[in-house]
Amino acid sequence: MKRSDEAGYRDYVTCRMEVLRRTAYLLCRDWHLADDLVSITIGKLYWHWHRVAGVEHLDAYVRRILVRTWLDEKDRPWRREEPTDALPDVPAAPAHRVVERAGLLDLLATLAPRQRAAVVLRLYCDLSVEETAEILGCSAGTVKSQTARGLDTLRARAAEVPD
Amino acid sequence: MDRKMFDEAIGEVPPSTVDVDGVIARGRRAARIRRVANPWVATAAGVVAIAFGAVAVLLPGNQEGSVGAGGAPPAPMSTVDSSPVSSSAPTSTPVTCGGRTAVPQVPAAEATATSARLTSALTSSVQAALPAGSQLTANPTGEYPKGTPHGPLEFYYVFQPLVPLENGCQGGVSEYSAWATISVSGVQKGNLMALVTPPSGNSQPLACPGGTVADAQYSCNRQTGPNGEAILTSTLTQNGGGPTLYRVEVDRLDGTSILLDSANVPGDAKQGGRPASPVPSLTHQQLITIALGDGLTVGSR
Repeated sequence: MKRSDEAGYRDYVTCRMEVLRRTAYLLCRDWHLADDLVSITIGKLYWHWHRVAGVEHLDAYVRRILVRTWLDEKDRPWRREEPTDALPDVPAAPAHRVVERAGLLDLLATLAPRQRAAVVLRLYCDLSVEETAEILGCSAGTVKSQTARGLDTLRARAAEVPD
Repeated sequence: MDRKMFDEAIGEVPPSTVDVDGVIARGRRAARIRRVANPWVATAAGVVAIAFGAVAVLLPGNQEGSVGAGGAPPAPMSTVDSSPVSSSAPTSTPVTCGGRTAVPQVPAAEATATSARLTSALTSSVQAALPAGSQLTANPTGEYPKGTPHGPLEFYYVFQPLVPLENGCQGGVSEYSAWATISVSGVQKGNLMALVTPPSGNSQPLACPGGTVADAQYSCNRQTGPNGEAILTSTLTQNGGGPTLYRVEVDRLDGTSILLDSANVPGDAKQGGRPASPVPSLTHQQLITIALGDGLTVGSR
């Protein structure tokens, strides 16, 4: 990579680091793993930078790498999460049904990986259905259903949390 | 539910442990290895590493010094870089550049001894893996420095000091390399290239690059070795009936990084040409076994 390209790469990565880390954390809820995912993602980006640096939807390209890297990690046995029937205790807001900080993340973690990715991409990254579908490699209809089911699950489980 | 709510849920973000400089350093190293060893990327880039004093790759050389499977490893020839860099003592002042720390040059005597040891270890394990009747012969791709041939799987030490430039870094290489052509019953079938890198503190976790390679079919898989070693296996096949290359990269627990390439062309897959056999002479699993062998290490972690 030319030095000028490398400078552009460094600027881009530095500028997007915060949101990449936050997105990764929402997916995996582990800052160490989140930073690993981001490291792998920007490593892959470096590999292809000469080809993608000028593309219009670079952010979407990087998000796709990040999400797919995480989904790949989920497939590895030593990183596979154990499903649980019991939700952890979650503090509830006294006056109204607001899913608090830990509660939202706990609930998000109960979603299936692709549901979680759909919810994060749609609601946190504010992507359209079509953009989310492109990243997840599925149809727009699947994204709609994944997101809707994910939100339904979040609402339902939030309702189960005692006041 | 919106972005603000997620950000509030995330709360305070801990300091980042993402090492951008390290990622760039590893990317440079991978690119350099691809230039040296990966035929199609190098062809596309139109460069070889000669500019930085790395492995010379384009000149034909002799084919003497063959050794058959089950035979004795060749006696080491000149195995130390004769580039105009002091070969008598390690770099005195640590240099950092782009997040990398300069790796000291291995003293000449130690490099020679290590090269001989690696040559013996690799030759033995490769001979054990190849079918009876196989022979290892010198591969002209492995001339280093330019014009200096080496025997089959005879390691030579390559050192390029890390040099900060105005807009980046140059060099920062300390590694052992070896090449061989593989023949069966006197017919050349493929080749093998080995790159053994001592621990440097600059390495990043092995990860498949993802994406595609132009004009080639590429696949990659990451796995863990029996003792927790990180292993990448990849296959690169040039479109249009070109060569196939099997690659195994291993990060050993002692910090040694090993890269083994086996291609189904006798000389240098970078030059393309028609495959001399349907598949490379050594499988991924054989390459992994060789890379995990007891003797193929220069680590001290």
